Amino acid sequence: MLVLTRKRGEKLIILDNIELTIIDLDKNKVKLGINAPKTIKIVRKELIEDLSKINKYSSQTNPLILNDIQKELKYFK
Amino acid sequence: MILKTSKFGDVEFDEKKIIYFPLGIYGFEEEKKFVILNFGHENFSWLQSITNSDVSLLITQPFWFMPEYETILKNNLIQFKINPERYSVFISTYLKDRKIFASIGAPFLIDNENSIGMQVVVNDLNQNLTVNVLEKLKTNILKV
Repeated sequence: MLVLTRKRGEKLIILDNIELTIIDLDKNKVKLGINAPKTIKIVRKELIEDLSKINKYSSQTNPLILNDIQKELKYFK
Repeated sequence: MILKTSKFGDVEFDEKKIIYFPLGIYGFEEEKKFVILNFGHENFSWLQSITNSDVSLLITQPFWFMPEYETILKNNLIQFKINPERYSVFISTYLKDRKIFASIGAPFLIDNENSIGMQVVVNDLNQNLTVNVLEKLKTNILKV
């Protein structure tokens, strides 16, 4: 992993068009500003982990339980 | 063609219906080829991997229980210059304590013209990643 030291207000450029700014620093927090083209996907890593978990739960669905629950859904249609 | 699936046994499927996910989907990054299977569950289908018989996600289209999702999606995907009519939208769904939860935070978009799919993250969604489908249905009925 590339490790760099930056001070408050300093910037980094990734791939020519992504600009990362260290806006503020705290004891255990850092506030980042990101300027990037709108098509660049930026997400928190925890979000990806949550989405992976959801897809795994989804793949573990028991079709028989779905049959049961669907009967309850019918009352709302 | 015959497809082996863990949930449904051997299933007949049409090769032309294969959907290619170049980046895979969250949690199953290695799975690139899927088909959508229907087993008579109204509003629900299965996104079944071609290459891993164990991987089949319960999916649903979001609009029947959450009509406002159309606007959310439109506002969010405008940046990709996506024409909504060209895409089918599905979201992964799971059951917990006899409730159905739908993952509105990351829909699957499937390009109907070339059968290429991707799971995208809906940014600035000011709510949870998942919604309780039944609760959402009830709320929308009360609104009308």
